[in-house]
Amino acid sequence: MLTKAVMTSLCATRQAPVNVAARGIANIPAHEYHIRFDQRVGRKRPAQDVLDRFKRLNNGMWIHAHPGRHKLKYMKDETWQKTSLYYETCTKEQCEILDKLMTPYWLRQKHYPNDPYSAYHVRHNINSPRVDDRGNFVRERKKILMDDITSQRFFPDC
Amino acid sequence: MSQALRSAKERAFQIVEKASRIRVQDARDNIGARTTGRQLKKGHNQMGHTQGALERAAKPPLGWIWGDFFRPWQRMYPGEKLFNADINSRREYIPLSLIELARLIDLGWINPSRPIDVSALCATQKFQINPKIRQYGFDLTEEGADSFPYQIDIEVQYATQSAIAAVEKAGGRVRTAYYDVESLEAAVNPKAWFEKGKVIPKRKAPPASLIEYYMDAKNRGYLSEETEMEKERQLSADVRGYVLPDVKVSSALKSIDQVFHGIPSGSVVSLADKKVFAPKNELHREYYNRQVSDKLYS
Amino acid sequence: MLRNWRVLARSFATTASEEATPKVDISFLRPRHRIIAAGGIPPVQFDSERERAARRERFGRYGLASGVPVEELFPTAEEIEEEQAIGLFREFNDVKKEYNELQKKKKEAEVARLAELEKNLKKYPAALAKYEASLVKQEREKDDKELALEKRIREIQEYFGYWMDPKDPRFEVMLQQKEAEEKKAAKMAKRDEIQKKRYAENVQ
Repeated sequence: MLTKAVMTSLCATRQAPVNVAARGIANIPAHEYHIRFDQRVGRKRPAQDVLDRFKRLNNGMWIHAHPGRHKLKYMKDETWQKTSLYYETCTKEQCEILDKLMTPYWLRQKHYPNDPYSAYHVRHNINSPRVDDRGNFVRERKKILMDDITSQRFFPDC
Repeated sequence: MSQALRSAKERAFQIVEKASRIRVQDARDNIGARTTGRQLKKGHNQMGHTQGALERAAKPPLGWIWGDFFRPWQRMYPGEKLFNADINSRREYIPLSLIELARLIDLGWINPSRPIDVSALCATQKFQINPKIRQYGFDLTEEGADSFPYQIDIEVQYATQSAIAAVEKAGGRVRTAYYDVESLEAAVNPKAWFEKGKVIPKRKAPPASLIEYYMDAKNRGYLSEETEMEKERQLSADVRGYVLPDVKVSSALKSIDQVFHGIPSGSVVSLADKKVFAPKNELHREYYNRQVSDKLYS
Repeated sequence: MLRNWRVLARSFATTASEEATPKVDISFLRPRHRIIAAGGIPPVQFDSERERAARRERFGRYGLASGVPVEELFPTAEEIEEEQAIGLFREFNDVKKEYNELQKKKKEAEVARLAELEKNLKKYPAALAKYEASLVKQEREKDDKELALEKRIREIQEYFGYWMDPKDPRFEVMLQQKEAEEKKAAKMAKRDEIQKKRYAENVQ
């Protein structure tokens, strides 16, 4: 989606030097954080704000921490003390938006050997289709040469 | 060839074959299929701006909910370093379960009578390992460990205890070995490496953070002692309650700095001549004999 | 249709007429590409081909026939020296030694900690008893020492009618005042007593 502003900036001729600092990844206004074409490479960039605050699980769900979990603990009750350190899942719309703000690397499924989040990369009892239009699994990991019956027997993925 | 010459009917049939059973939700609209226009309360259905002004104005950022331009909802949550801060020091491994390995052997993609290592697994073209994005090899997982039938000699980069036990119960041999980035690039696509005329690299020893894993006989690390390994094999058999078979894998192990079986590191392979060239002078011999450790966060 | 029949016939012809029309190459390929398409080795033409990496690739594709000596593929002495000078990679033996030392230290620390815990465990009953005794003694001590102070505070309160903090400097002043008054009162009482006695004697 090439907006007019972006097109003019890409085709701009040399202008007079400006005293404002260069528009690097950290020096752009907040309402322009979704960078579709960065200045040097012309490629999409992930939003650093999102990377600092959210984590993407392999099944497409994003999780975040609870706001204010370290504040005013002395006046909060037992339940809050326990639940404030939990991570929360995002809504469907939030997940879709966060996926759009990311580059393909961040949307890949990554497997680590001693991952504390390993149990959360699977989702169960969801009725929407397991495969996308290209035939790749949407929420599960790729199974090599495996039919559904065998994979459901051995992989607790769906 | 069969993939190109499919008629439209065949392709349609394939799509229908692979599709799941039709349910009511399949007939429902996709998101955004139907949108009702909304009426703004200002005059001419425009919030005080002309059509052109609205077109040329800066568009709100993605997912912006009406409110402060400088406080989008993505920034209203607290930061958490555990999420993504260590992405450049994390090591990713490709999961390889025992049931998938059994399938590969069943269907003839892998020959169990030969040693299985990263090169053999990548030659099946069913796995994509990219050392440039910090992928360090294979992680042998235990799905399908209960009924693993083959006696194999496998070398992976990480393995769970159950997977190790399952392979040894079937009479095979497991080793975990470290491949640094350059050696992994060579091992993943040997043909491309040789055609670029590059020297087969000397496999570097694991960095200080990983040396503990590869020196531990419990993980069948390639740097641990043989005697320790024997003890651990017996121990896991006793703990898990199976009998270690007498038949043992007899083929030779790779040495610590070797990338390919049978080809010493520091040599150049010429595919056109079917020859392997090794350096003769002292400087290069010494250079390729020194065992060096990889950097900490390679 | 007729054209195809001729081509078909030519392909099946057993008597190859080579002295017939020479084959004209209408592919518009450049000479270099013609050589490559025929499977030969193209000559070195461009500057980029004289680079080290390009020469390595040439050897990799065509082998010894490419004209690149095998020695060029290996790193030069300067490159090896440079790599060692940068010192990016440490010797494996050093790393291994460090690791072993670290493990030893950890084990020693563990053993030392366990020994310390054993020792302390043996001393534990005695220490516990001592502590409990100290608690009890404290209470009794309190009774002994603070009783007098509390008595003084109570007397002052009763005498003057309001509570005064013992740490307050006025406390001592009031105490002295009280003592002086008490002495006076005692003196007066004594005097009265003596007078009473004398009176009693006189009367009798």
